[in-house]
Amino acid sequence: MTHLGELLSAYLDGEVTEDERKLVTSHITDCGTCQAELADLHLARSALRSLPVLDLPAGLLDGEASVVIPLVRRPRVWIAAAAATVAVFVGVATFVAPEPTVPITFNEISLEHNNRSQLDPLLTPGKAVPPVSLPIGGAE
Amino acid sequence: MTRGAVVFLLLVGMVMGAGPALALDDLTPYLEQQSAAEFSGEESIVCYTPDGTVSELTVVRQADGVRVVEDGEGAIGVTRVYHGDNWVLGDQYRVEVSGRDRFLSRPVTVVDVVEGDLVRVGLFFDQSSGALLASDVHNADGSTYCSSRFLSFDPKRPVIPDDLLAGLTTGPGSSEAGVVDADAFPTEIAGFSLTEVYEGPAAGVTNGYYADGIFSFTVFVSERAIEVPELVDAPVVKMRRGEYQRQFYPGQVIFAWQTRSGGIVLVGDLPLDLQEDVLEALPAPGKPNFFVRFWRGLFG
Repeated sequence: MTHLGELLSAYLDGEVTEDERKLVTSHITDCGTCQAELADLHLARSALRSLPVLDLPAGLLDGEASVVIPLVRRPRVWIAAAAATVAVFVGVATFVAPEPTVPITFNEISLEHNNRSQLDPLLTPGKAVPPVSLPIGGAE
Repeated sequence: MTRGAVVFLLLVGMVMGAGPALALDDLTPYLEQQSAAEFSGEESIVCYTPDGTVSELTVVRQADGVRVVEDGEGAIGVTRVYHGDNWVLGDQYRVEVSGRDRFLSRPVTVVDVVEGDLVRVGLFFDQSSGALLASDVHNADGSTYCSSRFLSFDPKRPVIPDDLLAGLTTGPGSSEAGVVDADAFPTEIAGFSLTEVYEGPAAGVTNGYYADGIFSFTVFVSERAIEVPELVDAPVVKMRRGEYQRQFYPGQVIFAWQTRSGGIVLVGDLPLDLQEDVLEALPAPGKPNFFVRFWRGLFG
């Protein structure tokens, strides 16, 4: 059985959707583990709420008013879907897609080398022939 | 005969028979004569490789320092026959003029390039024109790797059409791409010195040209695998450090392989043992790791 985990904390904070709320209520009916976890979370929150509220020391905020940024909780299903998509993309890109290559013909290789090997005493036919493709008849 | 005359004759005999050298033991004058020679003829080259024998018959014309080679399929190669001041013979070689002979009924000077006890290369220079009429290249075990022979030879000046000279390079190092990151290449590999570093023929490919005065090779390096269409069906051979694609051509061999960080292609005229030595000094074959493949998969 999959337990509710952090969804319980969100449930206690009233930050679940209607579907999630139904899921939590139906799940904890049959799950002792989640029941116990929910009780612990509840106790911890009660303890926190029972702590006295202290005034901040003067000058701590340097006279500026604090800015409250509300936290927005996004549905987890989209995060999971995005992660799965990325994982699939990475897998395809890494293992399925062909490796990019640099195409070079033998003639290009031979020409580049032969242009520099003219100092070799062994200027053999095989080293000299490939570069230019002109018909013999046209060259005469 | 007086005692003095006998001593004199003995001394003359000792000097004349002192060594094998009959002429200059420097290759430079022979190469200069070879580049200045004018002739035409049919030349054959045969190379004995582990993948079988490869051979080629060509028609060669040379004049004004330009050599035109035509093969039987209509392809024409135009090369400037060049001997410049920056030619340096590797320290491992010594040059010996081993004698005079006849080839195609013509007097030739036989020049050996010796490495240790091995005659690495035998060169047969025509005494009249200076042309190199024949050559033999040997592997470290003394076996013949390649032989070239003129089957016919005409020492008359041939006609070379002007249109063949268009686009002819002016000599080594004529690449317009210029020197790039030379630090990426070691200055010496298996006795070969780095002579030039340049870019091309494709974007992202950097090349190092190495020579030892007799043989030479070029290493093409890319951060991606290099695909040579002509090597698609080339045999894959296992050598000391891994597997390579290898293809022999008359007088030339080409290797291609993928490393952990990209691709390398080597082309050169190396005998078999030097092929092994050079490959051993270059990055070994390997597959790129996950992160390299991941990066290339995403961004090419």
